Amino acid sequence: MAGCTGLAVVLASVVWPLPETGPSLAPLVETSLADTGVSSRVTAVLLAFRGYDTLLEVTVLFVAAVAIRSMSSKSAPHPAHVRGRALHALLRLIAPLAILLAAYFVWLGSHAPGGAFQAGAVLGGAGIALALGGVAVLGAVPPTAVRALAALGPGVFVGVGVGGLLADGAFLRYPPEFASLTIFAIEAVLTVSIGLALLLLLGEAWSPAAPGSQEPTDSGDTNGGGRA
Amino acid sequence: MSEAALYGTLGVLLFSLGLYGVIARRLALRKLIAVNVMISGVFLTFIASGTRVSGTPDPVAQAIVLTGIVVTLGGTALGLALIRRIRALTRDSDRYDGAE
Repeated sequence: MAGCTGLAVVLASVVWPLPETGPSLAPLVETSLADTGVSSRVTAVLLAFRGYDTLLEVTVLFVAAVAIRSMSSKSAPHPAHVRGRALHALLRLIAPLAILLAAYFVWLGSHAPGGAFQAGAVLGGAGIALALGGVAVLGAVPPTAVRALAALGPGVFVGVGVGGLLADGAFLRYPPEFASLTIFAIEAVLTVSIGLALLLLLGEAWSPAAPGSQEPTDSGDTNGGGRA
Repeated sequence: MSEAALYGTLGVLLFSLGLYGVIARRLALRKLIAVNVMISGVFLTFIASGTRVSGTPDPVAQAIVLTGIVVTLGGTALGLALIRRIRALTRDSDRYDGAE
């Protein structure tokens, strides 16, 4: 306790007297913004100036999903599913709205705060809400296709990067005349993959075999059903 | 006193509060939540330091924090999965099941 208080005092004494105006990369972003084809500064930084960061970030998300998948076991406790007619009605309302909102966020990302991560978060949140509500979100989609879709975002991103390397000699360099379109395409694919990855982060709870889902397709999973 | 100093110091307080939680809490889940509190403090300080400019705030700071949020999310989810797995494997012992 004393140690943490001491650390807080030391850190605060560093942060508090920082000068009113500090270094900023905003002018640099401002001067190069026109080259990216998008007018949102944060999107330009994320997908053009610091594309590496974003590529590795979605890779981290994908790897986390893979790691969680590899750890999933039948003996781990399933999250309890909540059921109820009111909840079900709400979820039916939320699902299409979330998809609409996600599409809007992707479109918004080119000129205002928004983009793939916000859209993906909305998609993933809706998916998780559905899964926890006992709906087999991806019940009709084969697991292989789910994994392929989750890998599509990082894959397309790397593909565009390699394409820039081959065409222009620099990894992740976008063709100038199509920069805006390229960024939009990457964002659109990333949205789906991020949303899916967020859902996969739930572990096996999203899967149609989870207890409480509407269409159990796999009879191998028998334990944990009493939690609902 | 500037806004940046206020929010930056608030971030420092969050960070220290989280650090205390990481050390003092016994349950892995609470430690993980405390780590998230720490990270929130770092983000707050980082964003605050990006506003110490005249005109538009530094977009690079915002973009990096956005990246950090997603990485934190992945790490937290992985941590939760690890905790669940540990709990499943050590169900007989009360180490992860008991109250504080």
